[in-house]
Amino acid sequence: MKRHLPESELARDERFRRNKIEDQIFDPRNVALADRDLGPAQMSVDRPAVAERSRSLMHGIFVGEIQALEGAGRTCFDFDETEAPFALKLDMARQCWDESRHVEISCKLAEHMGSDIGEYGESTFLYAAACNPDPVMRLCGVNRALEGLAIDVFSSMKAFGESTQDPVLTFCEDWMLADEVTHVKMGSDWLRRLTEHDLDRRERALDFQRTVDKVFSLGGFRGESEENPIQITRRFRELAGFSNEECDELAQIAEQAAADARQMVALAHASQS
Amino acid sequence: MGSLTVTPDPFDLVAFDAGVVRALLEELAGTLGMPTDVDIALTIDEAVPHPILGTMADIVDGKIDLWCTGGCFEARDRTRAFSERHARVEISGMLLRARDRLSGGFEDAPSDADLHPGERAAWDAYTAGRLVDLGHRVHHQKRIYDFRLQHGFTDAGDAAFERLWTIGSTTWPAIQEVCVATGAAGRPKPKLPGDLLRRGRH
Repeated sequence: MKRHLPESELARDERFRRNKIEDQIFDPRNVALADRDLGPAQMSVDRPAVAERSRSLMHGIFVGEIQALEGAGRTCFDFDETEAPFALKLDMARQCWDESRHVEISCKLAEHMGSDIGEYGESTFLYAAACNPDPVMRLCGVNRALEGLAIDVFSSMKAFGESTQDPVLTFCEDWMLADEVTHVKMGSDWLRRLTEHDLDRRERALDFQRTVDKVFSLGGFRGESEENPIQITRRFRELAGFSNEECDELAQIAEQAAADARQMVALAHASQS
Repeated sequence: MGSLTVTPDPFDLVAFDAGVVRALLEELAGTLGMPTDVDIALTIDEAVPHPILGTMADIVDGKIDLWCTGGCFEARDRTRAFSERHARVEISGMLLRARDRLSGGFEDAPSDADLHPGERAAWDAYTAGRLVDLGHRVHHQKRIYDFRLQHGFTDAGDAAFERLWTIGSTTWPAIQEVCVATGAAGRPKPKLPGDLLRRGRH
């Protein structure tokens, strides 16, 4: 079996269609939309098109779970025991079990919300964080950045379920959220253990995580203000081994990502006028 | 036959063909038996993508005024691409509601901008059931989820949805009664205007 599988070789059946991230970034509608009021940023029942927006996000969560499964699974296989201790691989194997269950739960939730597998396109940028050939960097990319994003998304979706009194969504998101906290905690613990005697490597890994976190903040999708659909969840991140300073830093990274996106729109406006 | 207009023509931001949309509108207006002496204007806001779905169907100065976001006609799995299947369903739904307003027992219904979200969800459930009868592929679970968000995740709400889905013919007062029965009528009206997407600004 091939080691270090690139994003382009992920296996999918005929139901799935891959979105190109550049199509979304360079969509000419982005500039026109930046000036529009489309309702509250956060998921709420008085938000226009809330049903389809939540379904589309749920499908994104579903494919994200598949990619998290693939990322953790690759870590079990891609490295020998001098690079990644057996106990780390056991943790990754346990995570695969959790992610498989999350994929199943996400399928059921999508069904509950009225969508089908593959109904919406799949972006694979989450898996890209799992392609780093250094196991410590990969742990930071997958367990601290990707799974950290999952904490924020599940917490926001759980709040949406509570606000709409949807017992199915609330219950499922709460259970998956608990798993994600353990996944991030595993990442935090293994980062410290593997870099205990190599602080430069730890700093490089944290740098990589900052880069991934900026990408995953999606130009304002995640943050701490009312303008952000997905909220950074400090309480659960603290339970998962993030310090206050790390949460502050993540909030700053998310703000910077939003500022960069605004600047891109301003530049696009300027070039059109 | 009254005039049929599609705006914009041409589309600049999405890969839609105004001629194709106009032909669909003409075909579906004929299929649904829309009055031949009434003008129909369909405006598509091409800047608003999927998943931001929104449609409006009103009668303005005796003319049928239809409006929707570009996302309504957009392929769900291909950015900016046209989906004939979704366009057919959305145009048919808008025409059915416009026909209700003209002569279908909905003459007293407020304009779409002034509908309570619960009223709109109930009217949409009634419309979706008729779309199925017309042979369109309509996702039952999707529509019941939309309904539940406004009428609650309860057995009584689900029963109300099934009645609307299968009823075939109803009136505006009956829609209002459903909203009272499920409790949706008692929910506070959102602070945001009902036509926020169309206005583009609060």
